[in-house]
Amino acid sequence: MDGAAIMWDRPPPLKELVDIGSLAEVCRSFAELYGIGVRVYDVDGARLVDLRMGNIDFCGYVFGKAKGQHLCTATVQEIKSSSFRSASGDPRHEAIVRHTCFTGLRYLTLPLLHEMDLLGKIIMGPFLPDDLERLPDELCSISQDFDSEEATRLLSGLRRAPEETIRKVLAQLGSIIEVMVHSGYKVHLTSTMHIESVTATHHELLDKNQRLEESLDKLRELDRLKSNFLATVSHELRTPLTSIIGYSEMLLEGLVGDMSQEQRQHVATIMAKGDELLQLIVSILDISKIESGTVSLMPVELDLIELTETAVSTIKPHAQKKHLSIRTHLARELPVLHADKDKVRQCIVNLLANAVKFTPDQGEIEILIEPYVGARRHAPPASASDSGYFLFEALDEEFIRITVRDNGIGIDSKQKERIFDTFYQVDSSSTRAFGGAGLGLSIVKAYVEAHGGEVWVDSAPGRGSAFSLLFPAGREANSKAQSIAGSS
Amino acid sequence: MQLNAAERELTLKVVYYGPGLSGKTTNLQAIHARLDPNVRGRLMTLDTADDRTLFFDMMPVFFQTASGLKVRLKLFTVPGQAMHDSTRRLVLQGVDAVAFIADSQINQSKANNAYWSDLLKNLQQNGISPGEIPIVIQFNKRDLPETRTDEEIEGLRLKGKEPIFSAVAIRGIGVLETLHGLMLLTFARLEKKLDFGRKFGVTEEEFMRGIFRNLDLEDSDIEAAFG
Repeated sequence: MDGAAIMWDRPPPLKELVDIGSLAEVCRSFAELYGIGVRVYDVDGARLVDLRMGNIDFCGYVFGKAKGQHLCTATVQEIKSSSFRSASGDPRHEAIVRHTCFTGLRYLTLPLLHEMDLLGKIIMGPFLPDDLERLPDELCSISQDFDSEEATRLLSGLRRAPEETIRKVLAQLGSIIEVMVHSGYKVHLTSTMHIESVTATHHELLDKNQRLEESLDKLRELDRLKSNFLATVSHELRTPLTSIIGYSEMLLEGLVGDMSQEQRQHVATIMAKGDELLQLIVSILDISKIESGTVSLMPVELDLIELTETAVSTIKPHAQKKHLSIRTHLARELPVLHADKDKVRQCIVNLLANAVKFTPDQGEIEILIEPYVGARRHAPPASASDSGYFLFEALDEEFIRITVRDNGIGIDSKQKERIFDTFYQVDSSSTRAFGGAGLGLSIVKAYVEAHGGEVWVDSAPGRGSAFSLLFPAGREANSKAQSIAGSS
Repeated sequence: MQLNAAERELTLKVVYYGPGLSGKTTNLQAIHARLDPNVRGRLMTLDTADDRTLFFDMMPVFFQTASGLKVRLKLFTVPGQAMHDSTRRLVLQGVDAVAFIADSQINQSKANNAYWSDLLKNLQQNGISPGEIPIVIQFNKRDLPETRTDEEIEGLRLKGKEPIFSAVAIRGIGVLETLHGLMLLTFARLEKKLDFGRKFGVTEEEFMRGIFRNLDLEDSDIEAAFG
């Protein structure tokens, strides 16, 4: 049903508009108060309420006679079929219709209208009109054994009243039922409107979702193109840069003749800057590979002591320039770590490089490697089919934790999540004190997560930072995750 | 419009449209208050929250012509709040005539414009061409300060094709005139579309009298028309 239909259509049938039990209760209270039967029929002639009062014995006696039965049936038929449809004029003014039974008893009927539509009728009766002085001849002659005295005695069970009074009572009952109908119609419209507007909103949301999905697909495609572009450009940049660095190195080594001290210094600067640029390009290449999902892991059993030493030696020259100390603590007993050697080393190097960058002269940097048993901080969404996780809380797991701690400038809580975003810089102003492209931490995060691990930072401004990496321990742990999906 | 030729019944749907708090429900209440209590249908207000209409108000006016045609006029309001756009569209389905209730206050001009285009858009979405159905505009709240001047409204009257009425609905001023203006346009459209007068034996005078005969027209500009 559409909205137009709701507001156009005839009201639903009487029995759907009002609660029949409540309708019967209201009618019963009238019937008992005035001692007169009440019946309510809907527009199709179905009886909704039927309350008889005081006439059962009398009508039973009359109905017992053959002719009485015949006449009674005809009267009932007449009352039931009385139509209000043919009445002309304003239907609101339509009068109550009187029906007189052959017994002299009377019924009054009232049409039940709602906005000009006939919904049904209320019949009140029978009652004994106070102007009926004696039994009609038609009644007395229904049978030879008709006993007038007995009939008169049985009649005393019926209410005797002026018709005018009963008209008022019926009109009163009619207006109460009309209020019930009105309320029912209002509830009917409200609930239909509710359904309609919810349906309309639902369709609007479906449309919106569809459009969002389409734009998401487009964005994904653009993202893929961007990553491809970055990978291609970085590769093209790296090739000539390798020559620049290589030829600078040859010049420095004197392979093509001696140079003056000043010339050597200039060439050394070219080479150092070339190296910096190369590192940056390598990072961009890494991140674009991560984002395009073309990096794969090659897990082996790692020698963590050797790995840490290599990482520290890479970063040591930079640390020495700032007179920073780097201390390494390895726990005595460590579980086996099965992971990609280059990727793990790169993670440590990146964290160390960050620590060196953000720690003031004479500062301290510490690397801790220890076993760690606990629950994940960001458990993947659990599902019934995912037996690796409980539905409501994550299981404790065994990890190797690598922590790189410094006593540098620290990070405030708002920045903590964002620092792992690609190209994000805490200080992105053009006059910032610390260089870098904002790629180091996002590479770390992508590599650790590719191993099924986690990364987080504990830090406060001015109180240093501690970056923790968790790698799942064990031989099997990291061999599942072979390729790195986009970090977004 | 819903015409049941067999049963000789005509139902017309009139919608009061406009921005929130412009006085749509007040218009209906003013009409209801002036209807003869013996014949008026109930003013039905559906689901209100904080005195704001959530779905719609509805008031039926009905009469029977001498030729035996039952005419039912159903007056609806739409919810004015922006969030109820889908409900406004639903209420507009199958509409026969629109009274656009604008708020005269200068700071409401933007809202009036927004709801006017909203009306045109929602009519079109319901497959109704805005040029084809009767629309009148009422500038309500003429008694408030900081409102559009009479000259400005006169300027709009000359510019647009829709009849414009001034009103203070809360005091019942201009409300019947607005309905009267809209019903004249509605009858004209019935004539054009259905050859109404000839087919159903109803004159414009009888149609208008049928709607307004039970209304208290005292002190309104249309009192003379039914004198």
